[in-house]
Amino acid sequence: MNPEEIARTLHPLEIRVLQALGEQTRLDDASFEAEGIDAARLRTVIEWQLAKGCMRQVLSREKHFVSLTELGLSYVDGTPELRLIRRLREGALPVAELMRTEGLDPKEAGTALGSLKKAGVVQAGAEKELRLADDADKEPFVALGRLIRRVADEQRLDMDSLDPADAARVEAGSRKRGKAKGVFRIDIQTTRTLELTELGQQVKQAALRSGRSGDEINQLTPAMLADGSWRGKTFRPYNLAIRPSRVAGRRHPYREFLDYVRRKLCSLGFAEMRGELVESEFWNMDALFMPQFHSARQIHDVYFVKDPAKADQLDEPFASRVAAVHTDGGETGSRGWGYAFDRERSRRLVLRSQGTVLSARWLHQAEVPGKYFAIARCFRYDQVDATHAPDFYQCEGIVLGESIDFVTLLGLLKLFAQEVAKAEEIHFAPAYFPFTEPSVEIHMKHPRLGWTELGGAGIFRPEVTWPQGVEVPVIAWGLGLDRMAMVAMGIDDIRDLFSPDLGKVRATRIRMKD
Amino acid sequence: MPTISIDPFDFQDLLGFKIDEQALADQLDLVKGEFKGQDPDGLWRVELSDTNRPDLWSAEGIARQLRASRGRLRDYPFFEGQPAGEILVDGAMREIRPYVAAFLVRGIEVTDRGLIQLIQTQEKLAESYGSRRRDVAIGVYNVQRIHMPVSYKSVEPTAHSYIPLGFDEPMTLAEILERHPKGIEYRSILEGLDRLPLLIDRAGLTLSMPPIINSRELGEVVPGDSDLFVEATGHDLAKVVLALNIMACDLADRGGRIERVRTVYPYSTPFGSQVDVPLRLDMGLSIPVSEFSRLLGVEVTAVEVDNVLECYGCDVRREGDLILVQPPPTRADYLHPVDVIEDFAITRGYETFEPRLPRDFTPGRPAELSLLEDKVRDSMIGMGYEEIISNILLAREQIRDRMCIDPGQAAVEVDNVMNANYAVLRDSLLPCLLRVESSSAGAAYPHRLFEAGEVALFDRGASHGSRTRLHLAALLAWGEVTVSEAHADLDFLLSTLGVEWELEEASHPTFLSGRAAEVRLAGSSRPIGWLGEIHPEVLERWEIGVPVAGFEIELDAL
Repeated sequence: MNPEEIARTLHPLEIRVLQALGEQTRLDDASFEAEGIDAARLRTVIEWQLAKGCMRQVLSREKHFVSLTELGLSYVDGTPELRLIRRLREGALPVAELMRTEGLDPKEAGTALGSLKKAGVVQAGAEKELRLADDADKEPFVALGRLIRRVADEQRLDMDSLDPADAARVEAGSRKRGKAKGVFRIDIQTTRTLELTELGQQVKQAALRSGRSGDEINQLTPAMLADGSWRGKTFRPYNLAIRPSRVAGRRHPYREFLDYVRRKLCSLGFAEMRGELVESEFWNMDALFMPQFHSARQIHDVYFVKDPAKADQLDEPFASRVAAVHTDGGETGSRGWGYAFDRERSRRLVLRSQGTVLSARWLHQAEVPGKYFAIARCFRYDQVDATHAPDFYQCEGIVLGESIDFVTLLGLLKLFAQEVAKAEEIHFAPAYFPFTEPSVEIHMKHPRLGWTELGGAGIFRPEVTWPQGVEVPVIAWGLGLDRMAMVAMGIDDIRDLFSPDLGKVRATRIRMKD
Repeated sequence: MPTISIDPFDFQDLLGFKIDEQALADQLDLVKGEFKGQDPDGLWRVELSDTNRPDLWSAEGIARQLRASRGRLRDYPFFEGQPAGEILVDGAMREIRPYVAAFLVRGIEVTDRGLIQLIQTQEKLAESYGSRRRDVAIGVYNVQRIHMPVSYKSVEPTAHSYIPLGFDEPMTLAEILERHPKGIEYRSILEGLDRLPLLIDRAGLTLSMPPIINSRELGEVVPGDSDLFVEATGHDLAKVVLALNIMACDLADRGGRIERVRTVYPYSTPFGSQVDVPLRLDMGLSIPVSEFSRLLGVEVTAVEVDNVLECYGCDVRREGDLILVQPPPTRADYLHPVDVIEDFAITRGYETFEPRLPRDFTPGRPAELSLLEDKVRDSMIGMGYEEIISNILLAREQIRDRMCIDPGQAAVEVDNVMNANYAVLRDSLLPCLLRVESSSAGAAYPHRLFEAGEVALFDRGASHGSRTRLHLAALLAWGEVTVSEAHADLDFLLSTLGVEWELEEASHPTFLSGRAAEVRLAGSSRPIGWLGEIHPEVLERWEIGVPVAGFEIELDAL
């Protein structure tokens, strides 16, 4: 912006500061005076001027001021050490007696006595009574008392006026970060010398030329409207260059993404399922035909619950039927896994490790035909890092119906790719899941990431559906949401999906289109 | 999911034709594999996802499957014929480690490359398929030094010693378990046994202490060896046999001549009391061709099924419309016809199926609770709250000590904690919001935060020891915030929802006394939440420097 433009939108306060400067080009923020401008307003004006490039800082000095803390104020009539010294001057005393010194609580007295003993000011006599040592140097304690009184008198003392010994005492007795108690408080005040830049001088000239007086109306008020005092006045133009900030209510960007997926799935005819965070191994794995010896069921793959460690009972008739399919296939025509199914193991409680649990639980109550989905929080035993969160969302579901088969499975996945992920190019690949056969993975071509996995699916094995009394084929599907969400949110660390940093959350925008 | 390394030159020898990285990557669909690039030694990395196909966890296995589609399967004649060696099993082994089986291979040239692949296969089979050597452990020996027959028996831990691989001096079995790296790694399998398993030959030379470690004398295989004895032991005979079938076919693919070994048991096994290995497992299934058409959604003929499955390495016979399928002897994963039908679809190629939409109409709808949750979230956002979403797993200290709540109060806790920061399920959302406030002093004030989300409430009476509930928590933080602001917002929210409610002054360690209240539904005595000003002690523990007010309610209760 040119100087005229800047001058046009100066705040009346800025005009007044520039007028008060007169011929000078420098100002000192500690000593500058202009009518109607206090220190706080001056600081504001200086920040504006610095931001516009009209001023620059040429010098900055720190000044340290000492004052007393609440504790310090209570020591004005003597520190605990001095009080003890004063009492002992009247003669030796037993410890218990000394501890009952007026104005001191026992803890304070104890601490003070400790430091006096350490300094050799107090000694224990033959009868264990305490007395002042004859040759002791009491000066440090006396000097501190003197210093406290001096600070109390002046209320606020420039550190530069202290001799080195007193300055050291202030340092030692000041309240520091992490230290609960202190006698002195040190305030740091910065004073600055500022100078008008060449631009600033041009703006000043332009402002003076324009005839702006600094009493333009900044804010129209009801009073001005009532008494008509606005008439004949000019209004300060609004500065478009400054972007005012706003803190406002807002959906979390990750939830905004999850909401989008949920709405999409509802609009495609899916009904939502919800479930429990804690599940039995029975529903989490057995019902999904994962054999109890399966490698993904080990202590290093799922979180087990400490107490109670087991569910009180298993749901029948499902438990018996699931046991049968594991052992010999039950009535499904399957061989089964051919091992002795352990019902105790089924009762072990785990933190839900896969969203498919909800589908397994829903099967026996599902409508046919029916389409269901869940966006469910799941837990995996993983080292938490940029690609592993302690808990995360999985989006899973089922489709039941007479018309379900492998080609409708592919059709459904293609629909997901187009509707949910806006993918144009897709590819199907064989996959393995313990609970589906045939199984398929869908990959999509992402405009920025290239080929990436969108999800996995398959047709539930009869060993999964038969125990639940389902007689029609069932598609089970899952979509990898986190990856899609991270791309939409522009983040590459999965932990940032649940960031506790409000600044980060505020700065994150969701971009659903590429 | 196992990932294996294959040597490109070795692999092409096994294949019998040339293949480059791209062509391999394209064909890996046939084995449910994913090409993971080249490692620093120039080996190709392949990840295999099917945990029921251990036959694919080797260069030989992948090559065998790829060869099948070109009709280049080798004949494996060694599943019949008289055994060339014998293992005698002692009756006591039934309670210790019941199964053993073995075969011989002759005339194979063990090269460096071949040895690396052999060790990799042996390890993948024992670790992944054999459940870390419990179900299957495999040992390989130079057969020329072994005096047949071999005995599989048990001895007392200190009554026998031999020189294990990697050591120079004889050690007792007990010492091996105590000091040998493999002893330390796998001794848990033998825990609680007062007699330990041993393979020993007629001359009294030790082969190994299964499943721990071979002897140096008989069990050290080096490049140049040509005749090997391969044994497997374990708790699952079907797995032991399958692992040996796979090893035998792999070695035959490298030009070895396989000879069977007979194991004689004094007790019965799933395969009788004399088990000759390699042994063909009967994994055959008969499937009507209509099953293929029904599951796949396209019409297929018996001839097509026959041709395609032959190309996948299966032995297929047709009886009218019935397909009789026998998988190769290296596979035991045909549990149900659906497994065969998938192999058909994979071999034909997923791209040959035209996707079609399911034709049924179904109504879509969010769960009732989600509708309520959305309504609540809308109200909160309308009042200027910023939404937060947090992890459900927290540190125990965050939901108890920092909230000034009795640390002994029960919560849903993880038993196998990996990281103390993720050790309990939250039973309240307030700690999550305080955690955000604690990390966000730098973000411009005022802070009005809320989270709607699931918590797990400990409840010994519930069937799973806990109940999952949907909560809403709100937190207000700035210099002059008071509880009345939180009160006004809660009132606005609940009246919007048409809920009749009341407050009852109560004390709660997280809130300042006199500024805390229970939220109840009108006419009910059961609290459904809390409203109050957070106690400065709590703020100090979270290192929060501004006053905070807030509320939390259970949405399921509305």
